[in-house]
Amino acid sequence: MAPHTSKNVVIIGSGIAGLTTAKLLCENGIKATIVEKSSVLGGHTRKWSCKATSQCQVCNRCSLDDVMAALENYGVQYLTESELGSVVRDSAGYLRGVKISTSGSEVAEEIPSDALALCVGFETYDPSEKLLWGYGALDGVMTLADLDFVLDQQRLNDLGNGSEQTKIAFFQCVGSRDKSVGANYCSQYCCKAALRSAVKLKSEKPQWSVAIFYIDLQVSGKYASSLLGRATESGIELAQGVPGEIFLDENKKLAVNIEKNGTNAREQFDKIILSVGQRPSASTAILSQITGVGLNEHGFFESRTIFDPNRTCAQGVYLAGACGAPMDIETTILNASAAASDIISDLSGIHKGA
Amino acid sequence: MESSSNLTQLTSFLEKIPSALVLGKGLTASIAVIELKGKGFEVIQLEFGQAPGDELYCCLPGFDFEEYKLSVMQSVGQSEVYHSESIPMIDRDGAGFKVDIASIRDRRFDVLFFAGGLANRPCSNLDLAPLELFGPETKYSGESEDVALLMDYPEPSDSAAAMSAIVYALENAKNGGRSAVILDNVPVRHLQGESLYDSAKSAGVKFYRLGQSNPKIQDSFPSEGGNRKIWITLQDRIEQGSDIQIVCDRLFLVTGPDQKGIPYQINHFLGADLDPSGFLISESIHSNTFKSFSAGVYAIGNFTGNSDLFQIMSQAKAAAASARAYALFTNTKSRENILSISEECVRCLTCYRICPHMAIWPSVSPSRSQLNSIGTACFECGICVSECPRTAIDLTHFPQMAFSSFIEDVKNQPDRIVVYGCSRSAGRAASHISLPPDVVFFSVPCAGRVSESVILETLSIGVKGLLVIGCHHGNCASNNGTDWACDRVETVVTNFLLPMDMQGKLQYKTMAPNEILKMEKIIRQFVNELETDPQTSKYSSS
Ligand SMILES: Cc1cc2nc3c(=O)[nH]c(=O)nc-3n(C[C@H](O)[C@H](O)[C@H](O)COP(=O)(O)OP(=O)(O)OC[C@H]3O[C@@H](n4cnc5c(N)ncnc54)[C@H](O)[C@@H]3O)c2cc1C
Ligand code: SF4
Ligand code: SF4
Ligand code: SF4
Ligand code: SF4
Repeated sequence: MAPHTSKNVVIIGSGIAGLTTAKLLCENGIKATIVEKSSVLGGHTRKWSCKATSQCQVCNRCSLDDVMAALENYGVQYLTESELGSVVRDSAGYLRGVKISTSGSEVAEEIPSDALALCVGFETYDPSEKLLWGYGALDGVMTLADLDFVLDQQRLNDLGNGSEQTKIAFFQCVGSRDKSVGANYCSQYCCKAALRSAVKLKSEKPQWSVAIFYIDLQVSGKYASSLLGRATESGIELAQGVPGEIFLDENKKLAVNIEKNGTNAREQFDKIILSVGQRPSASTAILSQITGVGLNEHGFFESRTIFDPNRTCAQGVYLAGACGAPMDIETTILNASAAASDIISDLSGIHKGA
Repeated sequence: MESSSNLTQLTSFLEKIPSALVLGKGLTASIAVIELKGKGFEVIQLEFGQAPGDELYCCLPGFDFEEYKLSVMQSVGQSEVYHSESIPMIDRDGAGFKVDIASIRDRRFDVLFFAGGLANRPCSNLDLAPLELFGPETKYSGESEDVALLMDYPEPSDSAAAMSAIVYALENAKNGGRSAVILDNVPVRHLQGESLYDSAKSAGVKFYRLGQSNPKIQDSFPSEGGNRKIWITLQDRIEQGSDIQIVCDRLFLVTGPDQKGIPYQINHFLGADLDPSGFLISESIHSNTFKSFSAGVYAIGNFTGNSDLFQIMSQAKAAAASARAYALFTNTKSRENILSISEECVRCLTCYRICPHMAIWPSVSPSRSQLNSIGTACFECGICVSECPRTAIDLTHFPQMAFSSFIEDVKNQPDRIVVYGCSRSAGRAASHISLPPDVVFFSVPCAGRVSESVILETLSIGVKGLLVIGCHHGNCASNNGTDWACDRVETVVTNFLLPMDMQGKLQYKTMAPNEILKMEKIIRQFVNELETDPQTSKYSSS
């Protein structure tokens, strides 16, 4: 369908946030140009696996495919291996365009732009930063992202030790809710993701034992009962308190010390999966300088006010998705749709806005 | 000025001003009205029922709800509002809606918004206890008190309500009061959640985790003079050991929106479009928390199980933008001929009852009733086609002929293995894999289009095997198309394919669009089973 207006919005980042923003704008007759740093579209979401058992677990991974399919109906311009160079403003300070530099070409291309949406997402916490987790040093310690890769490749058997007695543990809040690593916030997605993965493991390998060590399970809301219900029905052990250290015991097995009823007990595992948190993307600092959008104390983009989460202090510049705060896919879709909504209102001038 | 020229630019391509009917009262409905007006909609609000408004929470310390409400009311401005005892009859009018209320009976609405409020769940376990439900209007008085807040009891509390309760506990503690929070999991939503928890702890709020046994609550009335006290005895899950006793003046119970308050009349529009907990809108990813399967219908707020002010503001914005796109699409695109209903129709209403997108609607005229297909609301899933007893209904882009000619084609190629796959999942993935030589893949609009007769016809030409692939249960873009496919395969296997050696020949499997390797595996396994021992391989559905 051809766009109905001459308005063009440039979107930086092609994760689920950027693509959702583009979709809603296109559906409303506004053109979109998507600028992506890497060579592929889809951001982090593209890497995650489907967690369906005999039914969908609503991980929302496949909404990426749906959004991409919907976008095929519109003439969105995709610029991969490209980054934002600068913004062009007129004498009154209004956003008029952006300059995009594409790898391999010398000159930055200027694209007219009535609004700019920052959708550069997040980075996963690197748990090797904290030696006690043993990530990268101990065989069998992996991250939730590594687990998704194994599941996506249909290589579940790789997780087992060959016997029926395989023991798997999830450690929650790795690199989140932890001042000692500079992340005093909850990453919002990982309790639900770990629960779904654990349910998936149990449904494929009912003999395995699966435990989740957590601080507080963040699954409230309408999902809480059904997800927690599935987890307990499938026999997943939920234990409050996350062990602080992973080591190899005398049998060269992964082991942790667990406090139970006031006494210390040692437990062995074949695989320990670290639910790594979301960190602000390294791009936020550079983009903050280019666009004038501020960063908050945690390093995420700062919105204009807490009640206006998608507009920023810079005229014509909006933000959507995990670059504004850690969030799961569902919330990202909601957030990005709201950003597109603000852009539509502001460009149509009905609403007082940027 | 710049913005006014933009306005005409953006709205001129809407042939007429789009209109919306917002059902509900309270803050949610007002926020929806503001967002819709901001998108150029003409809005009518319809308040229904006796219940007060909605229950929304904001977890910012110092947040003044009254002030916020006032500012929202100011932004709403002049608004057309009607009242009704219960939800009135609403009918389709083309892709839009008409409502049976005298003063607006002649108006047509492009979209329908459900923005109703729900009361909080009462607690069934604690009927004797002297407790108060924690609501958004529960405001800290400023005087220090001994207060206990009980959450996640017996089921998880709404996180926005729970965080507001922690704000209450924090403010009381700062004023020298004693605050105890009893819960399963500390809610740390939003970027601010963790620091709220931190400040509550450092201000002296005590957090207790519910243990195995239920807390015991007793109430003591003073003999004379003194205050009435509430005694709570509980075990802490983390600090295991002896019982803990909390004595307080007030006890609040924190729950969440009560889905039992959702009026049953809504089923008329939404059918089975409820999530497993009974809130509006299925959990399908297609709904993305604001959009219903029923074309042109949106739901936000308490009705969707949400009471977080921040999220509801986003829901309203998102839904308004999506509604604008819908109005644009249905008003500018001519899709009259997407679906045809022939003279063969006997008005059995099967198609009307089963269409997941509300794209078929009966109109009753004095002479006789008539079925209308609403092209602009139709998703072209073909579920209606597959169930029509008179084969009276057909899709233009995927006509019945498409199947017949495919089957005719395969007839001439003996020993073929046929795979019918949903275009959304299997269809997309199929382009990324190479199929075994004797497998023919045929992409169908929705697995629900594969009728029993299509299955039987395909088997009758002597194919080696037939595999139907749909999306995972709960993830169907047409709500239950994949379940139709599952049932039909099962029916054919049990009713028509009695001989054991035939059973493995017909199977149903599910996948997601991104499960490319899984699809390869499903097909490889199916082919292997057919080739090894059809006697032992059993019909399976997963
Ligand atoms: C291990 C793991 C598992 C998860 N599983 C789930 C799950 O099951 N369900 C769920 O709901 N959520 C899950 N999440 C969360 C989910 O990944 C995020 O909600 C989602 O990816 C956020 O989308 P986004 O578009 O905001 O960011 P991203 O996905 O990070 O996308 C950002 C995009 O911007 C690009 N970019 C970055 N900088 C620039 C720049 N300077 N210029 C141009 N482009 C740039 C990036 O290359 C990327 O393509 C998971 C997260 C992790 C870490
Ligand atoms: S939402 Fe997740 S679990 Fe459900 S089908 Fe899609 S990818 Fe699979
Ligand atoms: S979602 Fe769960 S695991 Fe992730 S940071 Fe929050 S509490 Fe920790
Ligand atoms: S199912 Fe067929 S016969 Fe029945 S009302 Fe619909 S079109 Fe008519
Ligand atoms: S094809 Fe699907 S959406 Fe269209 S009328 Fe039939 S059942 Fe409804």
